[in-house]
Amino acid sequence: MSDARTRILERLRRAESVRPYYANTEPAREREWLARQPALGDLAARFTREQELVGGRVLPVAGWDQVPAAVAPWVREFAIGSAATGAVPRLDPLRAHLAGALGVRVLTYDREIEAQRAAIFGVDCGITTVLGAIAETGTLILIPSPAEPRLLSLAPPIHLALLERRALHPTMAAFLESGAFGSGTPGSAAPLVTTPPSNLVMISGPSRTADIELTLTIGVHGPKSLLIALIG
Amino acid sequence: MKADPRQFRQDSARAIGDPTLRANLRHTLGRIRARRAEALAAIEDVEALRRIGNAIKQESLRRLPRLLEQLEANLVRNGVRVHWAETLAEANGIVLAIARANGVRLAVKGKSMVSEEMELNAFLAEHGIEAIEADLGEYIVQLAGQPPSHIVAPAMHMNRHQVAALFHDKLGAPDVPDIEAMTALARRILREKFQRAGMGITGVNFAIAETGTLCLVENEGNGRMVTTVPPVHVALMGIEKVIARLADLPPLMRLLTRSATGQPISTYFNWISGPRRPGEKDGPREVHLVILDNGRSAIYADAQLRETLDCVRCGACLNICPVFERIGGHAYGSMYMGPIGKLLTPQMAGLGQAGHLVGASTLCGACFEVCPVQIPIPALLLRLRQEASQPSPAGRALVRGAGGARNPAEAMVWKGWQVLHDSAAAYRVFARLAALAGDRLPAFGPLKAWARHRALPRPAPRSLHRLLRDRPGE
Repeated sequence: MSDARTRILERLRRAESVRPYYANTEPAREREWLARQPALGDLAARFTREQELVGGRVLPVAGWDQVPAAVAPWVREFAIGSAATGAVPRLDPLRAHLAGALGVRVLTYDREIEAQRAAIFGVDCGITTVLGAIAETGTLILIPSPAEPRLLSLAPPIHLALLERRALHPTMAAFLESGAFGSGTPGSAAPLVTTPPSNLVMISGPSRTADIELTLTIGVHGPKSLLIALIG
Repeated sequence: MKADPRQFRQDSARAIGDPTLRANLRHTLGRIRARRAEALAAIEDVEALRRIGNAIKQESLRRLPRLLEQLEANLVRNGVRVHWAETLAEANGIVLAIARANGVRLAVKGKSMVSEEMELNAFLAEHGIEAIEADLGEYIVQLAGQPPSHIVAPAMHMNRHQVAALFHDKLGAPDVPDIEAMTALARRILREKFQRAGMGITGVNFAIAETGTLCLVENEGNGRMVTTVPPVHVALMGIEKVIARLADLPPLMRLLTRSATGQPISTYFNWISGPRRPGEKDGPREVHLVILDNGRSAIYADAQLRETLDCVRCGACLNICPVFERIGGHAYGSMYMGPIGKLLTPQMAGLGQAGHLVGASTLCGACFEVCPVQIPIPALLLRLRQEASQPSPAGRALVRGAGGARNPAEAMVWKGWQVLHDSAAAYRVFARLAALAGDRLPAFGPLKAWARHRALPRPAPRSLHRLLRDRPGE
């Protein structure tokens, strides 16, 4: 409706120069305010504490080669009979261990969802790497990709996320300043020049609701359990 | 149940007389207030953060037309189709056209206040398309045939026993008030719907102009499902949701989730910048954004009332409001309830329809104190009260239906008051008469209604003027 567009924008432009009735001289920036906040301390410790507060589980693992052995107790505790990963070579040792010693049925989410929907919705556990995390709020940051589609971290009742310790950012602002989302510098006058990823999701704990009597209930539409291996 | 702000007097009186509703509201509001207070106590200098939140929204509004154009250009570049609607009817028509073009029979929805504004579910149903709410609270009120009673917790007016009875009645579930079991049932039912639906519909919390990104804040994962599984995603937003930069997000998020539910961040924070790209295995093949005006550009034109558009829909003003606590959300007869609703509804529906809502406030100021973006709600309510009973002062934009809540009897009383205070002689006669007859004032007509909940004033037998004049020694 280009007519509606024109009329709306014309009305707004006519009023654009109206001077604000309530002047606010505070700079519209968080940076100085953040500098006055108490220090976060050790990022891994803060991340772990915040995740556990919202019901996530965090397991420190020395290195990628330790991951298969480290997650074995989880496989038993959560009775994981089947798991899905994307087409990520780095996960091959884990997949081999799951399928071999642990007897887990492992499938690869490597075709379009239309061809794999029942399988992805039916599997016990989705395993993904993550782009990074925010220590302050215990938040994982995922940018789903052709190799690791969106539903891996959403449809299965358990999400196992593999996070590298060096990918921890103190705050959301620090993550944005790292330039991981688009190639421009957020907050600067220069616009972002590349196309942003079609989807980014920040995840803090398993799916939850409090819609009945404000009573916290875990596992509504997304995963009921969020397990995080903190590597490095 | 049809929402109608004109029924406010009757509906609020009924709500006050409903002990179950009162108990439910006390319980949930007590919890939600405590969580907000706790979350904000954990950070330093909340006041400065609120000023930053306000500054970001003010700056975004100052550049609103340019930001909307920038947002549109970036979204289009990212592969999103952008539609503009001046009215609710236009917005509904756009959604219907997208649904028809894709042969949609079933749509699943995330929580969207704009879709409530549009009464989209009813509209789609009239055209043979079923729209199912996927947020648990919204799903409950949809089953109950009710509108949401709160913008964040739509079913907060119901307790677990009422929800169990509803699930028993509508879904054949056992009538057992087990919250986990009821949540699990909704999960099972809705998972099947996500996979069958031809379209997902959501609102937008923030739209980032510089990247062309739509942000969605949620806890349940229904927002992710709705924007990932169906082949088409339609997002709905009011023109005021656009912000300039990515860097604006962290402080606004910091304020929004703490104010809404007392969380440092929501469980899921989705950034959607386009449909499924080549090589990607899931995500919708089409993403549409509908940008809705519906009276917002008129609000924008007024320098003072413009602050209404700062609202980030956290619900903190509802939770703290002594009026909301006693009557709940339904009595307001509008999808925007509580203090912010008293500002939005009359400006959208017109003061003639909803002008008396602006009177339903004690002006205690609690809403302003909790607002994360410092909307001066009491001052704006006073402004609207003025608009409601008389035309706007010169030079200010007219609110639709200004003067529409004018009450001739009240206007006459104030006229009389003015005459009395203009003339010393008239005032003296009035004071003398009041002193003689004041304590025998007959309570009838409007005076009787006024006196039902208040004590009538009793003028002293001798006025202050008289006492001063008669002081001995002068």
